[in-house]
Amino acid sequence: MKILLTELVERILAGNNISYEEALELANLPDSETISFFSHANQLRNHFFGNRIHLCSIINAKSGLCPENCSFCAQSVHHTTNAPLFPLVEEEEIVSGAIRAESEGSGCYGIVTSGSGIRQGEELERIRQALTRIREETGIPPACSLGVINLEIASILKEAGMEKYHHNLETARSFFPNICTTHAYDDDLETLKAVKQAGLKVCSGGIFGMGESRAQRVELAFTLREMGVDSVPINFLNPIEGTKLADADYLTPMECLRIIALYRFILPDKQISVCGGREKNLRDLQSWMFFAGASGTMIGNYLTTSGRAPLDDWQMLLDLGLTPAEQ
Amino acid sequence: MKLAILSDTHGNYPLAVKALESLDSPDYIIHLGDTSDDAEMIELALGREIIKLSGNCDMAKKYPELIITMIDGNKCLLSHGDQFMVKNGLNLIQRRAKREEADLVLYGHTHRPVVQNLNGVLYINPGEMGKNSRLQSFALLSIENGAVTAETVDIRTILPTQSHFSSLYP
Repeated sequence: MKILLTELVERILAGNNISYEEALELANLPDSETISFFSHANQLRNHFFGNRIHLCSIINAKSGLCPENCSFCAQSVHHTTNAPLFPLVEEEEIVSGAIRAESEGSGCYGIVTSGSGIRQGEELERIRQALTRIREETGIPPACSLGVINLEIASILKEAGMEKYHHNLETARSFFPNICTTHAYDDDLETLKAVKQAGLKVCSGGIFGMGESRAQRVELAFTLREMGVDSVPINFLNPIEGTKLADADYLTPMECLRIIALYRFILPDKQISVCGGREKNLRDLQSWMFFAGASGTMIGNYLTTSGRAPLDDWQMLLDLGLTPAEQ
Repeated sequence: MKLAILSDTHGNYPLAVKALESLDSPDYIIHLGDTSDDAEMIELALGREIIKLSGNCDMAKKYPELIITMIDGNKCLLSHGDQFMVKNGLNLIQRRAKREEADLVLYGHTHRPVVQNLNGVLYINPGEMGKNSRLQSFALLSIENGAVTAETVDIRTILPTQSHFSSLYP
């Protein structure tokens, strides 16, 4: 197995991709090879990103009453949770969030809203104006995560100064019906295509620990590779009381790290950031995520759950000899 | 937080659009069904997403028939009402509300605007907006710091040129 990992790394560094079968083998490496797996993933991370770690932040700009029935989501109208409920926040609050994110060392600021997808109207106009101001008043690149969109909306957002659009595929196509039945997987793929067509960077990843198989994790990674995404957020399920996945318990810290390493091998030159569920699932092994191949992480709070203080993450980077990419 | 509640528009979505446009941009709009196609048209016209349920005339049942959710600390039960046979009285929906420990129930189907408190639970029916209905109405809900106030609104009070038996789109 050590030889296999070394050979794979050499091939990747020579500009080749690993095959689906090889990825499946990596996903099922015996426990005895885990540390070696991480070490080789770290080698890939270091080759493509050096000691620079990308930090990102988000604002929950509109929360709750989402008509989609995604089984993990506290904000779905199909679940009864204590998720906050509020309409789109004012432009000033969005811009203030960007200023704060920049002061905390974040290299990207995501404006996130609940709902199936934004359309032409008041909300889009408010976000468009916020994006314009963020560009004028800060140095932090803004991104958006507003649901399913088309080329027209993507172009409007790009015109306003957005560089990147986020839209997770969440899971493999074969597992998607277990997660969401209110829209089609192809709607999500079409959003990614529209974003690319508009000339924007695409940020798309998934949530792990929802009951998907290891093979399905590989399947998702290959879909993301085929779609040519630029950055991949990896989220670990934080089971929320009142959602369909409230009792899910599929992950251990080591399994989370193995997912990160797997994705580094399949998407070696992409920004792979550990986002939601990091603290809950990785626990004391949070700093291992970079050793396992992650080149970024989200700092601050998540959508409906709290993250730890950004200063603590900065200290973690310093202790590891890593630096924020945007510094 | 301000919510506008509609139900039983039965194809007369243009009137619903006019009524909603006259409001001061409610934070949320909820359509309780009959028809959810109208709800989709309202979304397109207003350029914003609305919460949609399926009613008895929504054969495809594209949207949920029952939603139980928290709104600003209030547990809310939303249903078109047909599955609870509300035309025969509110017993069944009251039973479900009690089981769910709901604070607020939004329902339609009867075409009669109602705001009533039954055993500490607020029941709101926005009425209907069908083209030939004698009374076209919707409901406005305000939830501030957990306290709920609600009223039904006769369309004629906000669109005075609207007569009983006509719609704005002949």
